[in-house]
Amino acid sequence: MLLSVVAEGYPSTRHPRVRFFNVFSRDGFLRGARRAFPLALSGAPFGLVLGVLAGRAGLTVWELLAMSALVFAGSSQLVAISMWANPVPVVAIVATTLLVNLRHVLMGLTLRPWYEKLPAPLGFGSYFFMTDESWALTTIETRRQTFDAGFLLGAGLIDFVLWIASTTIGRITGAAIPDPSSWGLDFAFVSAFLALLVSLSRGKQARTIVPWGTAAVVAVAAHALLPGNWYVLLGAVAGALAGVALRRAYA
Amino acid sequence: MREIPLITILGMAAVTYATRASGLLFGRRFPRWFDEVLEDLPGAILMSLIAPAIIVAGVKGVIAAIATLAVALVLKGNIVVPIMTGILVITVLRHL
Repeated sequence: MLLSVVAEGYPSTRHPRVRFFNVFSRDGFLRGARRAFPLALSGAPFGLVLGVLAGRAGLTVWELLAMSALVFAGSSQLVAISMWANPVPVVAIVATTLLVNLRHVLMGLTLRPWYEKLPAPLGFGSYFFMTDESWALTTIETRRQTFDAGFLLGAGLIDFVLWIASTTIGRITGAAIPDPSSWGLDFAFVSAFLALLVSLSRGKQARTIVPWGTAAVVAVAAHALLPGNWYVLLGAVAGALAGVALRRAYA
Repeated sequence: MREIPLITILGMAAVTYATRASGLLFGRRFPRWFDEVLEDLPGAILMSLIAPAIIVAGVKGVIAAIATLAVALVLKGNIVVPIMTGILVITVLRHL
């Protein structure tokens, strides 16, 4: 299925670890898939929960399947599903999705030295499968002398298959759970976001108080004063800018 | 408009792939402030979603949120157990 590619390139002075050429082979692909499997499996319960919530929010099985396959980014999907309504607020959801996923730009930049010299379809194809997990594993893998660029595709594809399976199973089986509000499923979004927030805060608890506190205050005010879902974007931008101001003040 | 969900999903897919591909496509051509803004953006987004929702859920929501937070802090990195805790606590409180 996978061809081996050795792409010619120039020795990089900025990234001395990068070799003269980039290898992309079946071995790297299989190694990535093996390394990613335990992590992808541990993400499956989150996929199940997301599938249940998607059903509650009114997404059909096919809509969720399309979203998991085409967007393939868990936290942004959870945010979008929490904003899902009838009619669907398309502009607010797409804009929020962009903000949630902007971190991919920086992730993509850090892997660039190992992918820029590959044929474009391999590089840009592999990058579709860049998730927080597959990126983290690939970053660790690049420290090996014999880094093989097939790794990201292998790791990402395993993630992809388990993500689609778990969200779809959650969506189908979730339909059997009766009466959402009495089961507290409406509050599940709050719990899920809180849990994600805690995992984000690791190692920087104290200095998140100003940006996150600003976000909370602005979002609550905007939620009370403005119609629709704009409070998410307003709070997010205000919080991020407060963080910038804080760092500038103490730089 | 039956197509709006599909349009939304395609829009999400387009902007998400754009964020993935642009690091490879453009390289180091992003301004300095871009990294700075991104530092706190993910947390700020989540906080903006959480804070109004807790206020809407009232006192029971605050209690359930504190329970979720406590479990999440104890079980570092675990996502599913805190979610289950939040659902369980809010369900019990609503049925008291």
